[in-house]
Amino acid sequence: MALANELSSVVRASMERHGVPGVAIGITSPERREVVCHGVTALDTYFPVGADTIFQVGSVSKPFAATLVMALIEAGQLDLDATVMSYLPEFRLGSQVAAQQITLRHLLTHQAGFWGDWFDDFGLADDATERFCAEYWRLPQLFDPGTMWAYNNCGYILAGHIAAKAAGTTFEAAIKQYILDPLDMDHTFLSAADAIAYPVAVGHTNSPGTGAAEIARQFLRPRARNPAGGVLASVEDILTFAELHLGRRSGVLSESAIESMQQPQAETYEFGASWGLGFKVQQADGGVVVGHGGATNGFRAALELVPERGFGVAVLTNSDSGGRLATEVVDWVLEHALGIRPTALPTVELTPAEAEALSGTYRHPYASVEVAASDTGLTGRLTTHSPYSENSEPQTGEQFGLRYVGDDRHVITSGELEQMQVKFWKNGDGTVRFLQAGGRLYIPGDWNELEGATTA
Amino acid sequence: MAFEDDLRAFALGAMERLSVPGASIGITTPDNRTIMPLGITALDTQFAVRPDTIFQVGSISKPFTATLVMALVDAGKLDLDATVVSYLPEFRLGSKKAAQQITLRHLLTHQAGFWGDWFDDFGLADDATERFCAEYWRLPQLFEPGEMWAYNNCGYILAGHIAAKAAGTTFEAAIEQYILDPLEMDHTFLSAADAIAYPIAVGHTNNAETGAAEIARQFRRPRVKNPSGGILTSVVDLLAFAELNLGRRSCVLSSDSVQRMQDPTVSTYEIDTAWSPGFRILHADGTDIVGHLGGSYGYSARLELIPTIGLGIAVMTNSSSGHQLGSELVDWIIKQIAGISLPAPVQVVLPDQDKARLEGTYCQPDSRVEIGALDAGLGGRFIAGDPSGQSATQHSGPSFSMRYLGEQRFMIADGSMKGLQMKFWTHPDGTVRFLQSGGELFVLEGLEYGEGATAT
Repeated sequence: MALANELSSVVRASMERHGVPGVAIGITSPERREVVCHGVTALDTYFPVGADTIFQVGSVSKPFAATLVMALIEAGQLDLDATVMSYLPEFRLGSQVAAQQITLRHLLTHQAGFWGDWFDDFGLADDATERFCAEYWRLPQLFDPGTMWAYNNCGYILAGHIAAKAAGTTFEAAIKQYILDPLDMDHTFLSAADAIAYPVAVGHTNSPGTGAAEIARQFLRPRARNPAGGVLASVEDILTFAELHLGRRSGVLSESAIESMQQPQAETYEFGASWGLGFKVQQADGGVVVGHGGATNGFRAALELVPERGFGVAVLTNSDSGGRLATEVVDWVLEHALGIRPTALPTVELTPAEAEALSGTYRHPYASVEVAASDTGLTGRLTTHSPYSENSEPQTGEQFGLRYVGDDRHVITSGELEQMQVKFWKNGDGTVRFLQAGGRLYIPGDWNELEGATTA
Repeated sequence: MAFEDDLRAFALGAMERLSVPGASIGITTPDNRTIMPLGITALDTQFAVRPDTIFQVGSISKPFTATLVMALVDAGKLDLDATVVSYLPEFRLGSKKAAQQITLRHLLTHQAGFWGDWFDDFGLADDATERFCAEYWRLPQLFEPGEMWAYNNCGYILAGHIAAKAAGTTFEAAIEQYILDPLEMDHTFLSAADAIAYPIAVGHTNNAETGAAEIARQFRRPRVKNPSGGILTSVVDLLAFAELNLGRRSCVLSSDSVQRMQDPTVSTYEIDTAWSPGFRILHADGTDIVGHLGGSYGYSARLELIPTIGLGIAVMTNSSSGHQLGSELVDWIIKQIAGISLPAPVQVVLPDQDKARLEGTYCQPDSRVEIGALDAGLGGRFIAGDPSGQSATQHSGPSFSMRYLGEQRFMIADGSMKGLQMKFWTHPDGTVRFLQSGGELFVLEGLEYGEGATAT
């Protein structure tokens, strides 16, 4: 209980610091479950957040999609190493070779290699995801399947579509049948119509000028995105989902399936981080942390598990600035409950020549990063121009510093992106092939020269 | 202030007596507006109803649809007396002849004559309503177009579809463009995803045994129902809509069209009641009261206008038992403000020979009513569910007795449906053609339900 009391003051200070209106935190250990809620569901109603308040959890939906795939594998209806084409013979990508090779495992571990942030709206019909996936011939191929890791939303949408087809129903009905119903998770939804009659948290953004929280009313997401980010849930239900993956809930997955989801299968560009089947696997100072973060317009969430200790923590927030709160709260909880800390990264010297060689502009379709050499090393600046955000004008962020931590990895040292890791992937001749940040790949050259890009 | 205090006391007493958790009352006169939110949005959160709380208003959506049609008439894109087939050449009904004759005016005044309570779910896609209306060949024809009045939801869905097509967009986008945007009604929605980030009233039903209110979580409606019952709105916005139809807002309809929407076009089976394109017109005490009821699962609402004095009244509730509250509040307010009392129907003695002539079981596709002789007059009961008796959802209502009002009209004299009017329509030989109740037509058991019924 002392932990919960102390946690409350940590949470309140973090809410204040980052302008987060509402937070629900859940902790589950073999001994007990605790839920700590602070703040309000919306800045117009000031209704308090409770253990049953429904939040959008964004990409924390991906472990749900992966769990569904694993349940269908256990039911003998899917095979992790079967190709996508064995389930969808019509499947096409920008690269026809890649389309033939990609497996369900590649999709769940973000190793498929095609561009994964295409989100055009295919509406709300039951066949929206099928029609969406029929357009993947538009997606250029960035690397050969299985050769590296890059965060891939479209891969999860495709995995969800294949799972729904194997289950013989829609993705939403399959999640209900294979996960929610067996676990009695009656506060988890995949549509606004199902969630609206429950206490719902409203999203908030931060005013560009003052940083003050403002209500973000825009809620609608295309239905095709559900496998990548459509789950709405209460913190109690997220804890139940956590307990499934801590082996304390039966009826959904076998022990071996649960274990296999937490095994590192693909190394990422971040220090000590790999990906399992649906989860990030982070080697920290004192233990292995398995989890996933989530972000939608106005919401941030995190679910982190320490399976060897039977421990799980979930943080749900109704704010775009809730990601930093979630990191602070998770770090604090893991340190105080389990003595686990993030691994400290070294500082390595970067020569002026090395800095010069990394300078340049790196792009993907919705963003670019300008990297420049400076007296102190490297600086960067991110410009985004997402066609899917309400504001389609390019948004250029503040210049940030980069600290070299070795192995072509850097850490952002200032501004909103502080602590974010950046890696430069190099070709054999030492030139930069990719800059990777936020899980995405940016290229130094022309995006349209990627394989399959010209067909889009 | 005395008026408001009295209204609040009267309303709170009635809410308590009728187990209505929350209500929002709005009154607009040429001089001022009264907004009175009362009670709570949901029994679990106990959160207070506010002026901006969003309620479902069910069939009060029909005046919105009629307003959209009239706006498109004003824009020269529709003609009230043009036939449906002139806009939809492929249009089919159970009766081919009727399909050729029906006009937009017939649809808006419930004179089309086909069965109007078919509601199969065509999902959430943009073309759901178009695909729904393509199935109207299933709908049997009960009377010739223009011959009489019978409440027709499918007719409004069809009118909404034609209006959307004329506007060149979806029904939802057309309502926004032609009504909501010009009136700055920013708390009116046609989908849960649009409404969920606002303060929402949750629906409630009444426990079958105790009558106590219980939360009704089922919120989802097929998208095709939007033109007949999909509006979600706040009392402030509903008053703006009332003021449009009182001629105090000029940016949506011409004053001619406002007038035409209140033109009593066809008499209904109820005493002193007619229908205009969009509204029910009750002739009371020498004054026309123009209005509409709305009910959806867990919600009841009422909108009433007295155009001659510029009075508008809106009552929205989050309870299935809110109809009685709406009725009592409207009677009370009209009496207080306009000095008008709604006439109490006079009882007439029913000749014994008529009892035997009217007795029997009357059916429509999804319910029936059994009428039998009592010592004094007639009595009956409703049975919901497939009248073939094969439905798993048979639900028998309580028995009631019927008070005779003359002209083959009756009024239910007791129980939960007290006050509901019924009328027997007879052939020249005195045999019953229809029993009409709740706006619906029932035919004697064993008879075919209209022309084209076998095609279903």
